[in-house]
Amino acid sequence: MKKLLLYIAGLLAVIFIVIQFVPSNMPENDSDISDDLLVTEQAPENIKLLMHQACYDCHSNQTKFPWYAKVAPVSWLLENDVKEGREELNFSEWATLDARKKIKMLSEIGEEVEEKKMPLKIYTVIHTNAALSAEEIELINDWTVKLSDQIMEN
Amino acid sequence: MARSGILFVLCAFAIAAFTQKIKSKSAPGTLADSTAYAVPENIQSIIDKSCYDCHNGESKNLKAKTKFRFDKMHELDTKKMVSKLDEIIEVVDELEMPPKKFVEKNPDAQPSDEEYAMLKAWAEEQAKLLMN
Repeated sequence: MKKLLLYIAGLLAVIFIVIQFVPSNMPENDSDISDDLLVTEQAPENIKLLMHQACYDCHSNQTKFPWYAKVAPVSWLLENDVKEGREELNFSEWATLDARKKIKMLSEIGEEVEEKKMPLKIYTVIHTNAALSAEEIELINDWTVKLSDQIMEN
Repeated sequence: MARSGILFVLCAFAIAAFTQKIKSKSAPGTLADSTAYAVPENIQSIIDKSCYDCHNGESKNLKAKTKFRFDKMHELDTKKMVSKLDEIIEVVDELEMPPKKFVEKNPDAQPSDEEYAMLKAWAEEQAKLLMN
């Protein structure tokens, strides 16, 4: 029995080591913020802070990769989430969107945050400061509505 | 079967139209926002044929009706309406809708290229009107 457990542990260790050699395809960061949402729309400081904490790791080109981002299999999960997040909505490319897209995205931000679909649970479990309080949700929501109204008027 | 389906859709429309009327009477403020929203007959028939079965309040497809309801479009505020129109344009561009599986079972629901283009042009025009 003991031998079997040891064997399994050994096998897992080998698997763990082997998977570290699977080539990773982690999305790259880009420090250019000239098209960034919070910059171009001159977001207030509290919104900047909130969104950087809660959204920007997946929805921008400024992901703060933790040390374990390089360790498989966590790296695979991370790679997938960041890729998908940026694909769906990349705040670093905000200024390149047309007005209609901006309005849709702002409405979606409000919806996702209000329905607590975002930020992802798996993310807030580890990044506890990314979890949004009811008050913070309202702040983000109000700001997106205000910005959306502005865009509609222009 | 098909006949009762059509009847059902007609009823749904009648109810939607009726509630809309009540709504616009009780809340004239919201009407001004949505006066620009109009669905011409040729577009409505594409929607009926290809979208409405799943994207209405009575649909059994929970995911579809949570995401998008054609019977609720009139009730949305302008910004939400623009968002929904943008979504139509997106799924048309990417040929995401109607889902392949749905079309396999309902081949008639497949829009032609021309119908896709019409739907997209209408959604773009509507969004533009609403944003001005």
